[in-house]
Amino acid sequence: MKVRLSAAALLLPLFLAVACAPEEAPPSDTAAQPTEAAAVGAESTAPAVPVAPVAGPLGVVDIAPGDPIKIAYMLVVAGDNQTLGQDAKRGIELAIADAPELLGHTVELTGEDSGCNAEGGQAAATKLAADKTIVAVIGSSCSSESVPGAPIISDAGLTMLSPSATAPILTNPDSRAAGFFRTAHNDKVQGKVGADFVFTGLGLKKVATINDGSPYSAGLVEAFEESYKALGGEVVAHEAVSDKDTDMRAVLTTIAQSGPEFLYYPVFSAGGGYITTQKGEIAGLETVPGMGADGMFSPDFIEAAGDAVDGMYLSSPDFSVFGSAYKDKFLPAHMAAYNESPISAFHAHAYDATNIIYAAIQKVAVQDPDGTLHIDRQLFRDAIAATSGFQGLTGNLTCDANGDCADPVLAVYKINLSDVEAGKGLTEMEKVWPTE
Amino acid sequence: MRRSTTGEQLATAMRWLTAIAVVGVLIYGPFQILRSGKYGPENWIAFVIFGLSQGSLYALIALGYTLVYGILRMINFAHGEVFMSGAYIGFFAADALNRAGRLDSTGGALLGLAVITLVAVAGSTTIAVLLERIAYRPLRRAPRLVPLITAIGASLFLQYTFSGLFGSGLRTYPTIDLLKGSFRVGSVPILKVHVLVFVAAVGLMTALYLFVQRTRAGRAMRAVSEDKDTAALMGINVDGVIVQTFMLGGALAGVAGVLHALIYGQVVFNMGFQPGLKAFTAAVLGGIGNVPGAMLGGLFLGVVESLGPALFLEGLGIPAPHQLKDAIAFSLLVLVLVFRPTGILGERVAEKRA
Amino acid sequence: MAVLTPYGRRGLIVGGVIVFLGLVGLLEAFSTRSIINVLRTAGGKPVAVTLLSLPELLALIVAFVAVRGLLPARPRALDAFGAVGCGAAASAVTAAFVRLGPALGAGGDGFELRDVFIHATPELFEVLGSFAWHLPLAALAAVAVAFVRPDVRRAVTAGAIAVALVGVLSDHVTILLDHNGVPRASTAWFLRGKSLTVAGAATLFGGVAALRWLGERFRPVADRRLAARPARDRRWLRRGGIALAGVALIALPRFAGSYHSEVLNQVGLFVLMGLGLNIVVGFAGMLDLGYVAFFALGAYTMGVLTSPESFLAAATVPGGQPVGPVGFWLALPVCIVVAVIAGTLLGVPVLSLRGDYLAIVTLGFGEIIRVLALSEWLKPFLGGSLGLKRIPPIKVPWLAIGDGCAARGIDVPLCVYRLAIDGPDKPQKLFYILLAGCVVAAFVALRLKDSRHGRAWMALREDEDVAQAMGIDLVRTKLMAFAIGAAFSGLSGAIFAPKLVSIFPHSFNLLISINILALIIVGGMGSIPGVIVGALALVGLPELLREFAEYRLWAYGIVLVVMMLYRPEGMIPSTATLRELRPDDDASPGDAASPSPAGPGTAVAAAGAEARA
Repeated sequence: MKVRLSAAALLLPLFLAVACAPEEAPPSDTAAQPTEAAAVGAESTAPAVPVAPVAGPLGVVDIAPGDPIKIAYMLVVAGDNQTLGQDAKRGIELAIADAPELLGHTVELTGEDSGCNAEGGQAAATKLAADKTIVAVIGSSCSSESVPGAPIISDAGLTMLSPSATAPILTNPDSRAAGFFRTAHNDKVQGKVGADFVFTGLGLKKVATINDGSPYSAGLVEAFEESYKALGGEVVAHEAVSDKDTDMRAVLTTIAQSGPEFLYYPVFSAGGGYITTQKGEIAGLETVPGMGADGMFSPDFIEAAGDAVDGMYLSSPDFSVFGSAYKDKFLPAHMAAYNESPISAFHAHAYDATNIIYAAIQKVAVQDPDGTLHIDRQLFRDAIAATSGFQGLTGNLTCDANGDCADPVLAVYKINLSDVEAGKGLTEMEKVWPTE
Repeated sequence: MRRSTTGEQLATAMRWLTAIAVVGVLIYGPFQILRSGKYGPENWIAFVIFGLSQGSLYALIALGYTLVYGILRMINFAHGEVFMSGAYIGFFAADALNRAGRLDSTGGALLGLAVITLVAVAGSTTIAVLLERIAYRPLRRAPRLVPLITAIGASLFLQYTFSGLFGSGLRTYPTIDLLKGSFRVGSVPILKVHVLVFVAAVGLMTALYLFVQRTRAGRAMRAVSEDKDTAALMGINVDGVIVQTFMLGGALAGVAGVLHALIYGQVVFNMGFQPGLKAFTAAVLGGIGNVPGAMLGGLFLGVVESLGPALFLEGLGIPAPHQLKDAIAFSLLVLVLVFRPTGILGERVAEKRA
Repeated sequence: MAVLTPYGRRGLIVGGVIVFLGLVGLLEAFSTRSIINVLRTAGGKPVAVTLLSLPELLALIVAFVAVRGLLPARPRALDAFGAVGCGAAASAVTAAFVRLGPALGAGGDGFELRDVFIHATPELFEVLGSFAWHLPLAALAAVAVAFVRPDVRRAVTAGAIAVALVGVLSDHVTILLDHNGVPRASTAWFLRGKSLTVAGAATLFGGVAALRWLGERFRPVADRRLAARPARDRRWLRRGGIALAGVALIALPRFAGSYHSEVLNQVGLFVLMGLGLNIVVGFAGMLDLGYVAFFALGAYTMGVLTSPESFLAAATVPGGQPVGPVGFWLALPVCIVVAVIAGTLLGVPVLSLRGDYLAIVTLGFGEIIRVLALSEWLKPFLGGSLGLKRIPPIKVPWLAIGDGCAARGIDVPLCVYRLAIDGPDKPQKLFYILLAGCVVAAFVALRLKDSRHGRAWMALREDEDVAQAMGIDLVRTKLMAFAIGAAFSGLSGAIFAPKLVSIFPHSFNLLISINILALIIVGGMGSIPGVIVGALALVGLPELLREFAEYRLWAYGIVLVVMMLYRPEGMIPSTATLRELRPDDDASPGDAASPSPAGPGTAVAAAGAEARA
C-alpha cells in the first residue's frame, strides 16, 4: 500500500511540472547562444575590424585575450587499448610543443578518454560537445567510438579529425557526419594497396588472412579480400584470433593445411609479434612471407618479432618523400619527451591532424586589435575540408569530399634483418611497392 | 529418499537433453574433420603439444588460486596480476643481463635464467604477500563477496600501477640462444622452450604436492584448510600459514610469468587478466582446492583450447574456428560441472560452502 | 620519546606514497591542473598563477589523512610535535628522492632511473621539489583540526572537502553554468578557467562550513519539533518530500543539459542492471559473474529487430511478406522475453552448482555470448566485430508533444514545459525512458523482496538445504531469480542499443559484469537504495572524472579496496546484511537501522552467515 501511494506521489508532480514549469528558451538555443555572443563581439569592435565576422550557421568561438585556444582529444587513453590513444595523444602534444602559441594565444589541449567502445565514444563526444570553447576535436581512436560520437560532435558545430579510425563507413557519403574528417587511411585504400602488391607485385595467387577481432583489423581484412578476389586471387583461409591471444600456433597450424603462399595479418604490434615469431615454427609456413599494415608499423613490432621479422612486409604511408622530418625531428623529440619510442602507429597521423587544425585556424580566424580571436565554426570546417597538398609526416594530405584526408599514396616496405641490425629506422626500410 | 519435484525432474531431463545434443556435436565434428583428412597425425600431435605448454602455464597459475581457495575459501582475483608482476619484474633482470652480454654463453644463459627467475619470484611473492596483508587479512571474516571485490579492486590497481610506473607499451624479453630451436621426435618437431616449460611445471607441481603432503609446514597448511580455529588451538600460527600460502602461490605465479615470457616474448601491463581467468577456470575444472586437480585442469584446458577448434568446430563448417576457442573451453567447463559439480577430481574443501 | 616513533614511521610512509604517486605519473600529468589560482600582472598582461595545483592538493590530502589517523582522540602537546615531525619526515623523503633520483643516472654506466620508471622525468623532480613545505603544513592542519571543538572540526572539514570537490570537478560546474545560460563574465570572480579563484574558494569554504555548522546545530531542534507533531502531519510531510523529489527528478534533465543527462542515463542503465543482479546475488545469494550476457542479448535482440541493416530486414516470411525492421516498442517485449528465456536456460544446467562453481560457469556463459557476437560464424547475423549499425533511436510520441505545439506556435499549458531538445534521440529524452524503467524495476524489486518469493530467495541465500527441507521448491525459486534478473538486464540492453545507435561486441565484456557486482556490493548488498547510490558512485563518478583518463581506473581500484576495508556492509546496507555483520545488534533491531561507519576490526569481528554454516 505504502509503495503504491508513493508511486502515485511520483506521478502527480509530473502533471504539476507540465502545468507550471517556467517558459524557457527556444529549442534552438544551443546554436543561438554563440551566434548572439559573436554578434555582440562584432558590434563592440566593429569600427576597428575591417571584416566583421558574420556568424555562420554553426556559430563562432570567441577567444578573449589571455585565453587559450582549446583543442580537445577524444582518444582511448585508458584501459586495454590505451596504447592506441596515448600514442596519438603524444603526437598532438608534440605538435603543440612545436608551436605552443598561435596568433598570440596559447594552445591548450584538453580531452576525454573514449574507451575504444561505442558507449565511451558517445559519452566523451557529448561532454566535448557541451564545452563551447573548444575549437576542434582530434579523435576518435577507434571506429566504434566515432559511429555514435561523430554525429554528436558534428551536430554541436565542432569539427573532428581522427588519427586512427579507419572504417569505411565513417566516410561513406550516406552515413558520414558532416564534421568528420580523418588523417588515417580508409581501410579500402590500404586494403587495396596490400592486395595489389601481393597479387601484382609478388605475383602470389593464394593468400591466408588473420584478423584479431578488432574493427580495425576485421575491416582491413575485409577490404583486402575484396580487392584481392577482384584481381583474381584466392583466399584459401580466413581465420580470426582474439586480441588477447598469445598462442597463435594452433591457428597457424590450421592455416598451414590450406597451403597459402602469403599471409596477411593487419593486427597490432603485440599480436603481430606473436604471429610473426610463431609462424616460423609451423611446418609449411616457415618460408611463407607475411604482411601487416600501419597498426604494426612501429618499433615495438620490430622488437617483438625479433629475428623472425626478416622478410616481413608492412604497408604504410610512403615516407620516401617526407620521411626525413619524421626520423630527424619527430622521433628525437618523442624520445626526449617520453623516453620511449612511439608505442603504437598513429602518432604521426595525430601530429598531422593537429597541424592541419593549426593551418585552418590561421586561415579563418579573425583577430581584433585587442587580440580577441573569432573563429567561425562553419568556415573552420570548410577550411579543413579544403585542405590540399598539406605536407605532413604521413605524406601529402588532401581532404576529399567525404572527409578522407590521408595521402592516398601508400607504400609497402620490406623489413630486412640486416637493416634492423644496422639500426635503420622503420621509414628507411626497403620500399618495394609501388615500383617506380 | 526425498521425492523430486516436477521442476527438478524437468530440469534433469533438460540437462540430459542438452548434454546429449552437445555430445552429439562433439562426436559429429571430429568425425567430419577426421574423415576429410585435412590434418595428419603430426598436426594432431602438434596441437596437443601447444596445448600442453600453454596448459602448464595455466596449471602453475591455477595452483595459486587453488592454494588460496583451499585455505581462505576466496577467489583471489588479483592472482593474474601477481603473475604479470613476475613476468614484468623478471623483464628488468633479463634486460639488464642482456645488456651486459651475460646471456650469450651456455653457462651464462643458465645462470641468467636462474637469476631472472629469482628476481621474478621475489617480485611476485612480495606483491602476493602485500596483497594478503593489505587487502585480504582485515576481511578474513567478512562475507565472502567482500574480499572478492577487494580482489577485483586490487587487480585494477596493480594493472594501472604497472602501466603508470613502467609504461603501457609492450616490452620484449631478450631471446636466449640456448632455448632457440627444436628437437625432432620422429617427424614431429618439439620446441625446446615447450619442453622446458612442461618439465619445469610438472617438476614444480610435484614438489608442491610433496610439500603439502609430506612436510610439517604442509601439514599445518592442510590443518588450517580443514578448520582455522581448531588449527589455532593446536598451536598453529594461522596468519603465518596463510602468508606462506600466498608466498607459495606468488612464487609459482612468478615462475609462470618467466616461463610465459620465454615462450611468447612479450610482457605488457594487462597480460595477467586473461591467463588469470583461464587459470581460475582450470582450478575449478580440476576441483578447486585440489592440487593435482589444478594440474589436470590446467593441462586439460590448454589442450582443449589448442585442439578444440580444429577438432570439434571445423568439421561443422564453422568459419574461423580458433576465434571460438574460449567458447569451447567454457562450454566444456559447463558440461563437466553439470555432471561432476565439484570438478574432475572433486574438491578438497573440508567445510561445506553455503 | 616513544610517543614520537609512530609519527616518524608514518612520515616515512607518507613520503613513500607521494614518491609513488609521482612515479605512477599522477603528479606530473596534472602538474598544470590548477585548483585555486590568482591573477598577477606580468609584463602589463594579467596572468593566472596557480596557487594550489592538483598534485599539491593530493599531497595535502595524503599527509592530512595520515596524520589525522594517528592522532589520539585527545591529543597532547607532544602529539602536535610528533605530527609536525611526521610532515617533516615525509618532506625529507621526497627531498631525498629529488636529490638522489637524478643522480642515479650520473654513474656513467648508461643506466637512468627513467629507463625503468618512465615518469621519473626532470618535470617530476621539479614538481616533487616544490612540495617541501606542503607536508608539514598539512600535518599542522591535521593537528589544529584535532584540537578544535568537534562541531567546528566537522564544519571545517566539510568546507575543505567542498573546495577540493568543486576544484576537481570544475569543468562540470562550467558546463552546467553554460547550459543554464549563466554568462561566463558573471562567474569569473568564482571560477577562472578550470580553477577556483581565491575569492571563490573562500566563499565556498565559508558557505559550506557555515551550512554544515548550522545544520548540525539546528537539526536536533527540528527533529524534536517534528516528532511532536501528530503522525498524520508527518505522513503528509513525507509525501510532500517524495512529491518534491519527483518534481526534481522530472525537471532534472532540463537543468542538467545533454552531457549530464547522458551521465545520468549511463547511471540509469547500470541501476537497471544492478536491480536485476541484486535479485540474483543480493536476494537469492547466487554469485553471477556473467550478468553482462543478458545485457548483450537484450541489446542484440533490439539491434537485429529494429536495424534496417540486419538480416531480418532483408528476410521474408514464407508468404513472401518482407519481415522488415520493427519499432522499439514492439521489439522491447521481445528483448525481455529473449533475456528471460536465456536466463532460464542458463539456470537449468547450473541448478546443482553452488558458490564459486556457479560464479565460474556464469562467467563462462558471459564470455561465450561475447565471443559468439564477435565471431565470424555469426557475422552475417550479428555483424561480427564491425557491429550492428543504424539502430533507430527511440521514438516516444508523448514526449514530442512539446516540440509539436512549438512548431505550430500554439501556447497551451502542456507546451509550457517544453523539453529543451530538438531531436528525438537526445539524452534528455532518454532520461525519462530510463527513469520510467528504473521506477518500474525498483517497484517490482521492492514488491518481490517482501513477497513469498523474496522470502524464499532469502532462505535460499542463508542455507539451501534447510530451505529445501522447509518445502521451498529450489528449481522454481532459483530459476525465477535468474529469469527476473535477466529480464531487468535485457531491458537495460534494449534501451542501450538505440541509445548508442550502433552496438559492438566490445561493449559487452567481463568488466561490465564486474562493475555491476561491485556496485551492488559497494551500495549495500540486498538493498535497493544501495543499488542507486552504488551506481552513482561507481558509474556516475568515474564518468565525471573522465578528464583524468587512465588514473580513473587506478583510483577505481583503490576505492573498491578502501571502501570494502572500511565499510564492508556497503553504503546503504540492508538490515539483513547489517545483522549478519553485527550480530550483537540482533537484540536491538532499532540500532541496526542506523549504521555507524566502523573500522574493519569491529565490522568484521563477527563471523558471516556462511562461515557459520
